[in-house]
Amino acid sequence: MNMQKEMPAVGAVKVYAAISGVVILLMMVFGLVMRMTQGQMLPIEPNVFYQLMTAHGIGMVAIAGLGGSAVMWHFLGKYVNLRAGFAWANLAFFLTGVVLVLGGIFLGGFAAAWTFLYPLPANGMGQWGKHAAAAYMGGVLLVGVGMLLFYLESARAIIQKYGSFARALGWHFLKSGQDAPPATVIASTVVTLINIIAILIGAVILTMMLVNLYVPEIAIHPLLAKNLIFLFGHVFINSTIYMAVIAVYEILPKYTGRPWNVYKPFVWAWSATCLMVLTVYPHHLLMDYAQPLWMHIMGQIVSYTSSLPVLALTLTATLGSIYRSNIKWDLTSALLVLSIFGWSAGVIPAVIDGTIAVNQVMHNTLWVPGHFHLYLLLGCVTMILAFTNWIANKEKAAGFSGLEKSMLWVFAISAFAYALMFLLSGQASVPRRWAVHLPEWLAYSQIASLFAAGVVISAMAIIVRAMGGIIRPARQA
Amino acid sequence: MNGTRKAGPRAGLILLLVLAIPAVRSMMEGDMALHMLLQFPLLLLAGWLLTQGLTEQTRAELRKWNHAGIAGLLMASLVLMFWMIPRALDMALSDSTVELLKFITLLMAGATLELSWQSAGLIVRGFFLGNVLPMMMVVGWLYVEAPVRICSAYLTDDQLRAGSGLLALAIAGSVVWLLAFFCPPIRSKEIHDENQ
Repeated sequence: MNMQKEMPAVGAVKVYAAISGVVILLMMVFGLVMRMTQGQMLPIEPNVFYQLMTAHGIGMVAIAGLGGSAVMWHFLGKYVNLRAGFAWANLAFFLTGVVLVLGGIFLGGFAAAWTFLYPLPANGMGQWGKHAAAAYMGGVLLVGVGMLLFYLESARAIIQKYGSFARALGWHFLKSGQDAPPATVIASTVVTLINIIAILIGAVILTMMLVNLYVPEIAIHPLLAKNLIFLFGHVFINSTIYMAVIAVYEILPKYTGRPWNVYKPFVWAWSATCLMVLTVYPHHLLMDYAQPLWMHIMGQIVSYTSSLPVLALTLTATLGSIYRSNIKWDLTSALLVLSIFGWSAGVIPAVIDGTIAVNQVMHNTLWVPGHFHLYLLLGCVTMILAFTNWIANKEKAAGFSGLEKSMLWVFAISAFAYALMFLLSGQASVPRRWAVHLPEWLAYSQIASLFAAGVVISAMAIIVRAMGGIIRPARQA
Repeated sequence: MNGTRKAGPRAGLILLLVLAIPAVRSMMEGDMALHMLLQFPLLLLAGWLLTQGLTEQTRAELRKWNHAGIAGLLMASLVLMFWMIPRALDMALSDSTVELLKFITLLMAGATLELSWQSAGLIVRGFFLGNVLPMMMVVGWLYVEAPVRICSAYLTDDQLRAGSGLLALAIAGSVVWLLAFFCPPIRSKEIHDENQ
């Protein structure tokens, strides 16, 4: 039942990976420019800073989604029958949406941050008009439409092969102990389910805000809007790492020679995650005093528990599979192991910030970007880079040159130090989302810029090298 | 199958006749929530049941225009979209021609749902529901949040109940749809059909 088809990455997956690599690099440059601006090393106007911040935020969310989708599509396709047309349709919607989003930001001046929190998009105060806000929100809506198609096709293929989501999640295995689905199928099923829900909710709030944009008399309850936006956005960005981690499940065993077996705790962990991912978002609303108390409490408790089941199992299984395995180290395997570190380390500041007492003073500081840069840059993006490198090497272990080792270390140290500077800035109460920093804060931004440059240079080397491997066969053909 | 083919249209016809009785009509249309959340679904159901009487030959002819149920579901969603517009509701109450058109279009929407649902498969159905359910939620919210009466024929309280009802119906529909992913017997055959 779980026979795996061996097939090289083709067509859509390569295009997804190539676009992800290029956009990740561009977003890193945006990040560098922002930190340099905050450190007064670049004369960027605040309105441009906020445009870059909006583009960086939505760009990273979208590209982490696309990169994660490449990983999921590629490996899920080895177990179920996926139809490539849907991956291309998703890409078409994605690119059209991106054009609208970029137009809204850089032509229309929209700069309300990627979270487009109500009522800011409708109140540009001369910086942007309602059409720019509509282009941004319409673009996000289109990306969602493409992603909905992508997940519906995943759902169809999973159900066709396994009969139902219940079987694909391995619930029968909990009873019988037999015929466990592969880890990839379990993870893909969870992501498919939570993202269909997230996209529907996203469609609702985006449409509501579009209505409000043109008919301002029809107001939205701000707290309802914030809940819906974070339910949509937080689930979506969370799911990117749950897609990307499939690379660890599928690729690492090729290096260690030890299969990634599914045990009952693994099934429990993913099923629990399915529920917790949907209920953890209130930790972003802990400062909203009007939010019902029970949601605050739920936000704190689920923040403590949400990441742990899957992360703890993946971390211990990764360490267990590496230990005395004579693992062959190359750039791919090193990036995969690094990504598990980034994911694990990145959860810690989130758990701290998820504590209500801490959140009251830390949430609007750079502590939070510290969390998600550790989690996403060293976790999710590193997984995507490992996957890109893996398909560039035609899904085989490769040599590990001195240059690659150097770039890996520069990337790991720079990315970690870059995230650490955010955390230290947060500890020093430096607010987040501010274009202009006080003189006392400049040193943090300047040192962070140095590490950001290290991230950009090393990531560029890794991505350019991988692009060569992805594009070369096409040229030869 | 033959039993269903006879019983379905008969039940559909009876339902339609009952809905057309002036007293029943005015009772349902006197309340915005009953109008939208009871009369509309019952008209859709009547259309669905009436269509079960179609011969296989007619169905085959119609399938040529309804590949994978796309055209049918698109039409149904457009009809539903139109009748959620407050102005349309007002016109149906004040103009008997529009009222007749409402009956006909909703019956047709029910018919296209019946003709399309089986052949649509998980993806087209998912796309349809992914459009209609959020649309119902947004319209429900509009009815609840609008600062003024948006239908001349109904009071604010009616509007509030209809909006809340639409929201509840959309949420319930979403839950049922997602729970269906967990139920194997029906879906596996449909997905097999979809792949043919």
